[in-house]
Amino acid sequence: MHSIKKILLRLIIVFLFVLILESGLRFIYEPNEDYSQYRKIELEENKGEIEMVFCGTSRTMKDYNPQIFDKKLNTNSFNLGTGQQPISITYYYLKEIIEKNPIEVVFLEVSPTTLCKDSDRANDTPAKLSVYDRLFNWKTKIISFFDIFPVSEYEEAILYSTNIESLFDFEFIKSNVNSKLSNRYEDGLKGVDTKSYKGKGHVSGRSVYKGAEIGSKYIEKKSWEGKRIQKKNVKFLNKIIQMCLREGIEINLVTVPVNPKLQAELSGLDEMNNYYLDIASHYSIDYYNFYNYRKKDNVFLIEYFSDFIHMNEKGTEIFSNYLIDIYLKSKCGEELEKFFVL
Amino acid sequence: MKELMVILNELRPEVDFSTETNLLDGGILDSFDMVSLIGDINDTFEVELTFDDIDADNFNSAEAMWSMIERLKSEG
Amino acid sequence: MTVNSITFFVFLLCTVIIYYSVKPKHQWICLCIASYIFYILTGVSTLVYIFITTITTYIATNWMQSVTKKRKRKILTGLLLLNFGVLLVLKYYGFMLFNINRIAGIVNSVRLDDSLTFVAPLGISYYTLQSMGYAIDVYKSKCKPERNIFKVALFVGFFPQMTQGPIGRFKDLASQLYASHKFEYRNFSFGCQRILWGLFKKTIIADRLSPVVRNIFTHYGSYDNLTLFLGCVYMTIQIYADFSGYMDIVCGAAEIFGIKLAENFKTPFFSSSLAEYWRRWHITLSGWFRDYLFYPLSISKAAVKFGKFGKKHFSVSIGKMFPAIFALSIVWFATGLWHDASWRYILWGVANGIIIISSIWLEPLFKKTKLLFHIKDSCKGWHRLQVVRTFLIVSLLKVFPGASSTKESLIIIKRMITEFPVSINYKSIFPQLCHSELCYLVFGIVIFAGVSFYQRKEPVREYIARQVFPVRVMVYLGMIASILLFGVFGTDAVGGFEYAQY
Repeated sequence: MHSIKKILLRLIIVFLFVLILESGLRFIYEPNEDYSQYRKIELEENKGEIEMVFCGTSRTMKDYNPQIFDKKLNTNSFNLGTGQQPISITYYYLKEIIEKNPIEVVFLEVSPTTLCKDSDRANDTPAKLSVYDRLFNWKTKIISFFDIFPVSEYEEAILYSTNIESLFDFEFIKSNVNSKLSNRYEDGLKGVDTKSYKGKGHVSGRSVYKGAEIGSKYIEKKSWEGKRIQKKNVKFLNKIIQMCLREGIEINLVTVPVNPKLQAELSGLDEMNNYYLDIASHYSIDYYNFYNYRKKDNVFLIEYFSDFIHMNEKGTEIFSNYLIDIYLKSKCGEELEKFFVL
Repeated sequence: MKELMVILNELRPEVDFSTETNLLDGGILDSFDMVSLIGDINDTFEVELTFDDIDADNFNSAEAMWSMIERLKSEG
Repeated sequence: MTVNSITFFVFLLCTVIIYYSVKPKHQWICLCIASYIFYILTGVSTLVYIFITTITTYIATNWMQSVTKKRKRKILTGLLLLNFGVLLVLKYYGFMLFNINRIAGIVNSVRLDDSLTFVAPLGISYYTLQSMGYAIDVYKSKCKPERNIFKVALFVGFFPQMTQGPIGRFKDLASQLYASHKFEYRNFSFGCQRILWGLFKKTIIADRLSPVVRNIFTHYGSYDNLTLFLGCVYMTIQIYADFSGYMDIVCGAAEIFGIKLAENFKTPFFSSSLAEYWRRWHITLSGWFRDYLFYPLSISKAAVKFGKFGKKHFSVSIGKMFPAIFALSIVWFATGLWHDASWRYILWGVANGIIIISSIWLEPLFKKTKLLFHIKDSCKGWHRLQVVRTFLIVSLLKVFPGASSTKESLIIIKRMITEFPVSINYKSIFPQLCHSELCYLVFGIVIFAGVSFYQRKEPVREYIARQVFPVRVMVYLGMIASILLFGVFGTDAVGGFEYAQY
């Protein structure tokens, strides 16, 4: 008994110590002026009011401009896209947003790689952590941990916040701590630092694709291949759709436009189109495949892309407007076949 | 016994074999010492040590070694 | 599942709780079941081979009890042939075939089919030696055979020892494994401290140096001879931190159950000769080879004949060493081969053997030289020189395990000897290490070295246990903080808040 008390006391000391250490390190090293921080704050500010969300990877994050949607559809929208976001985490992320907001419409990104390996990197833990760390309550965090991280990533997923790469970057520490103490991020939020963060989760830049060559390995990675589909990811796609339908939320599947030079090289796009069309018709929901948009050659020009897969500021504006147009027309009864090659 | 002590002292002059009782387990005699010692014992006392005899029980002290030698001699 | 993973600690915690909750006489059963669950969790493809070892060892040791000496010998021989045969085929089949094909290819163009491959199950090199040692001890009547086959299974498969040893002796280990243990806070506390220390060494020093060493040996063509030499030194440090850290974790884990495993390291880099080094490095392995291979070989008929030959053609004093030299050559060949089925490991073993044998052979010459230069063995300066020399020899020999093939290791040796350093700058001395990583590494090594120096006097844990509570707390929290801040987790791990850019 006495031993158990001793052990418990020591466990409590260790636990408290690790908690304090972690909080201290987070305060000093977690970047304050960063769009993931801005996004977190804006989500909190808009809590209870968001009606429309855009879910997916960095392609969603860069292609949908919530300000345009808010204005034209008279709604309150938010962009939930993050870099390389795997669909498993999209499910839990969206679930939490739905719990806190009166969501009515969801645009979910589906692409050739959504159902394949989680991301392009060998180790995609940071991509998962960018969402996992930021926006979860403890209950969801514990429940989702085993779904999101494989065994090989356990240590990294649990210990990342104390494993700082450059502990001695004094310049950064000074400016970061100052920023936190003075709430300087608000400038960034108000758009003073408009390098990339455009507000409400949307990130965009002005650079234009300069015609760089595309490697064959990249083309292969971005193409659709049925063999590479993972059952776990299919499960999460279904879970997302079912969750939305259960909550009475309208969900639309969207494959956002891609650089025409890349699209010309991709393979398996017909199979992909049929695959997602099947799912959409199974659930009686809409699928907007911009790879098959009838007017894409005249509308999504190469100069509207910043690289192979992301649109720039101008391209975002065009895409958002076109999507809204099609969306409204389709709600009025026009067939999607009018806009997309089915 | 006297002959055994001569062999031992020649092998490792710095060790006090009359009192030491942890020769093998304590690593005082290393494996090369052991090989040399076994060869000398075989030659001097005309016995044939086998693998079965190489044991801490038999080699930890000079007395133990002597008991082993006497046993082997009586077994012929 | 490796022992520095969270899953292992969760597994260990569950096992400890169950172990101390069941009836004392059932504790060994709990350990046995846990060991085989561990074995399965490590992803082993089949339990057949470990069962073969367990069953044959059980049958053979009990059979030996009631038969004649001659029969005993036959049973033991059969057991050894079977188990080492299995080990040989699983581990060395591919290697043997490769070499047979090479020779056959030179003679004529015949080539044996090499499409059949075997995967050696985890720990087979270790548990085979441990079990065969037990069988030989029973044969020598050093211990009585265990009559319960499940207890034998526990001895063969005890989970802390499974992956990398230490290789235990039945006499010392079995009684502890089968005994009941009452929960002792001291065992628990010291065990946890030891695990913490092992994690410190492994995550801060070993796993940080590992990619550096890998990089130097993989891209040896782009580094000059200074970096190649440093690569050998770093590899020595890395393997020492890794292996001894691993041992600390498994010994600490066993200590929590009240079981004391054999030590594998005794500050080996304070050795003054290569022979002494091998008495202080991987002690259980070199001890096993000494007791079960070296001694029988050195008193065998062949050795005696060789000894007589030496006495006849050289002097009596050198001739006396011939049986040892004969046995050593075989032992070092076997040691090299045991580590890995490749020629470069065999070369490594042979190189170690040559150095040790030469030092025996040349001992009279060394004695004369030392007298000439008035060098006393007790002189501290001379001792320090010997320690540095031993460290350098051990490091240079690492070129064989470090390189990816025998050919590469020979190329690297040639370059180290024949070239001059091209440039001496930060990058050539610390390739692939940024400044902050170097700081963490130096911190870890300084603490490690300091503890090693202190351990010669008494175990550091005892010293810390004598301090007041706040000091003890600070030491342990300091270790935990160091591991969290400076440790490397996962091969592709990225630290801290990089995800902010996503």
